Amino acid sequence: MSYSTVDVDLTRGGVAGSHFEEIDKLRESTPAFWNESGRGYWALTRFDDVRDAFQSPALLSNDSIVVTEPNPPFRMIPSNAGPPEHMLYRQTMNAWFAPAAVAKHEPFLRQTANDLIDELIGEGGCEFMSTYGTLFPARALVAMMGLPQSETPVLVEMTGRITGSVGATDADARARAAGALDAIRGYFAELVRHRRSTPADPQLDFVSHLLQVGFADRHLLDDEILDICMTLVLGGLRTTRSQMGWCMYHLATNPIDRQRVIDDPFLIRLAIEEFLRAYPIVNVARKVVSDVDFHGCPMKEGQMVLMFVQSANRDPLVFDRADEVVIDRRPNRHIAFGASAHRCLGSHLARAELEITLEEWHRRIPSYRLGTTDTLQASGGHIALLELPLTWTVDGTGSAK
Amino acid sequence: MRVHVDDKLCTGQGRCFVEAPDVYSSDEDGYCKERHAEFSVPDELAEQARRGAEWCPQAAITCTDGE
Repeated sequence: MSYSTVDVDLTRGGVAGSHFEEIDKLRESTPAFWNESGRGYWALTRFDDVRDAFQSPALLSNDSIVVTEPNPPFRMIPSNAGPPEHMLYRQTMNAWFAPAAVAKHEPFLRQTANDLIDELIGEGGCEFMSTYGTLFPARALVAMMGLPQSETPVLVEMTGRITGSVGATDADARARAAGALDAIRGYFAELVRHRRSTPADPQLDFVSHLLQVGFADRHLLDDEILDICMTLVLGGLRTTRSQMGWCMYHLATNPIDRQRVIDDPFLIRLAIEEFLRAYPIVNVARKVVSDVDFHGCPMKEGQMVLMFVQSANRDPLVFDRADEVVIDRRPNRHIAFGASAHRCLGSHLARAELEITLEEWHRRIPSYRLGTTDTLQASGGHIALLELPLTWTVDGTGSAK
Repeated sequence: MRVHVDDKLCTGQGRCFVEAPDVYSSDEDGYCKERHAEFSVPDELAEQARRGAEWCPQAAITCTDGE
């Protein structure tokens, strides 16, 4: 198998949907490439090869997981950890984000969905990404960490300053992101300081739990706890928002699919898997440990390799009608959440957020549609709608028709 | 049917126990509880067992007919 050399800027903004098409073309043109853009990086485009890359930690390390940033200025835990520490870190956190833990918060999540819908419904329309799309994931993560909801606005404000990727090639965007990251770290440093002197219930408060949990033969250091909190915030907010946007976009622009979901809410679970597959929002990356010929690519130590989930998920060698959104597709073994031991910790929470959102939204505002005739725009790299205007008809009682 | 869930491949994607709940279950960390030892399922659960295997993104599950 050979590779191609390309020069493409995958982070360029563009028309909504265009990034997926561009990636599909790239994949069909070559099974692997060296992208000369920026510092350069490798990428495999086929599902099987991407999964193999995910399952090769001895060759491809997590020292950096941002493809444009081989030497990250800060450490994310557990994302940048390798074996054996990685699983030890995960073991301090897994139970807090496991399906049973998420299920405990389901009543709150459902109430929160309805509270947010209550605020929007009478307006007859909204810009989804900056309203529901931003607030719901934030309230959910705050709840999962056992923090009071009064903390949500400050987290929303700080994370809102990180636009695009922290590996953004624009110097201003990087400076803004760095400032926002400092602010978030400062926020959690204050929280850790407070919980050290006044611990809350370690069964309910995530930071208090981290302060006393056993880690190998010791406890976690403050820096490790901060790195964990940063990772949760970076991993759990804009991602869910972005994916939610695509779900709502698809159903707003595909009335037949929307009606199927309204008629049979049990379809929502399958539809969400298909949206995760066909509208893949993120990739991750790995760093080459030492020179290796990997799937025909002569990779050199220190080079970055894109884990091209956005391509793998739409690979026609694995998925029939791969470029079509088939909302009852089954089985659907996509790798939106990765395919390694680093599988997204928040995957169960993300699914619950998406399911509850689609259930409640379609129950209460079934007839929404796009609220603009303008072409929608999306960011590249982290592929997300910039805005999603929605509109619906409100009756005399303030309910949606 | 014999079912083998490879504990070196299971990453807690959580599709098996959601799509085939009579065969697979979640442990408290969100991983497949059945990954510790091979097991058998009766004929009436064979379809679910295979469904769980097909859904696993890690290809961690193997189902073998006949035992």
